[in-house]
Amino acid sequence: MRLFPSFLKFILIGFILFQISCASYTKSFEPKEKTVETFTPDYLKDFQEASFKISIEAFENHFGGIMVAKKLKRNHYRFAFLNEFGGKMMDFEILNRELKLNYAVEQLNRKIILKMLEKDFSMLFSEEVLIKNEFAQNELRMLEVEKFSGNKSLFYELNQAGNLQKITLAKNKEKASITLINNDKHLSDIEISHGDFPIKIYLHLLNNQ
Amino acid sequence: MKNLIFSFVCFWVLGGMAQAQLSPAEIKSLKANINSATANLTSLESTFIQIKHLDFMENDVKSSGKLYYKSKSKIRWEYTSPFHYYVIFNNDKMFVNDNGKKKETEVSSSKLLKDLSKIMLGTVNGSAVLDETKFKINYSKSGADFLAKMIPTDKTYKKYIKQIDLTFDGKTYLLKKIKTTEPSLDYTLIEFSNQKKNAAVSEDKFAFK
Repeated sequence: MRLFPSFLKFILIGFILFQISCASYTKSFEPKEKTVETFTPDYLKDFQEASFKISIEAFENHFGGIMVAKKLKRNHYRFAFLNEFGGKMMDFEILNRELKLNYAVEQLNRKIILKMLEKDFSMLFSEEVLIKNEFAQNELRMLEVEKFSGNKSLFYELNQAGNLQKITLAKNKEKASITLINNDKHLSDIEISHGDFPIKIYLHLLNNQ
Repeated sequence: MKNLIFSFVCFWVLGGMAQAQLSPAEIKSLKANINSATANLTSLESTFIQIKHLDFMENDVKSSGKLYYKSKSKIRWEYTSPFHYYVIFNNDKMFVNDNGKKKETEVSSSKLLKDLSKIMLGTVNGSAVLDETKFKINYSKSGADFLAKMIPTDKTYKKYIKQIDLTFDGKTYLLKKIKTTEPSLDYTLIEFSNQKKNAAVSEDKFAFK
């Protein structure tokens, strides 16, 4: 008979903890009146095509190469990963936040990798995104896009000068984040993290046409 | 219009002349010359440029660097632009330095590395790449140089390669151009220049550091 109350207590504590963690991401944000209806990052405004040095740190392994990106039309971009010797490892498109695979070497043709890339590159290459809420946090402006990926929201974090410095995908806590290291108007240096998941992607702009 | 037709005819005639098929006797002589050119090759220093062409991109991705070789199995393939990266094969060990990130591997640990080592050494020792067990090879004269068009017959190679064009220098018989075309028709072109045969190459170039 004692089993049931302890089980109930366990569920109750779990529920309370869940409630606390649910509220945690926007808890420290101060709601503000919305100043924009849609948002396009500055780096996408004149974007045509570019090449980057890409470095991936995954489970204590290092992979490197070159990534090229081209805008085909609004919210439609094409990407290719090349190894240093020019060999094509992957070729894919992101159209309205969905990945379409054109080619991948066997080792990279995995659902978990494709899902991660779909999310990461949608976060980075989305234009005219509908803004649902606006917040202030210290001196930062936060723009929230609801249900950007499943039930997770996307947050654009802008500094006082109005420069985008971070893009975060979060529900109860941060799932993925993109830091624009120089927070400038180009994608000169970017770091993509995946919460507790030990995969980081670094992009360094080589050429911007 | 007449001029246009005339230019087309000229193009095809000259094109045909520029790539005259070699007779069996000429092929035999070409192979003998390539073999003897590499047989007495104790070292090589060369610069190279690499162009990756992707059909969907307006601009090609350009890289350049230096190649060092010491007989029989030491090679350093070093990119200096657009970023610093080098790979060294030295007696069954491979070493990679990607902008300061270093990694050493036993070549025998993977078939892929064995193939990569073979390809790298093949860029110096041209006769080793003319593998008639895996490719159907067509030999022709291209201006003062010789061209070997290799079409894979091997199933695995066919997945990644549509054709490899090797250009051998008509005087030195060293490999001076490699163009690898993928089934998608995207290609990688590597052109060597300033080839210094049997130049003094410091042992330090093959040190893992």
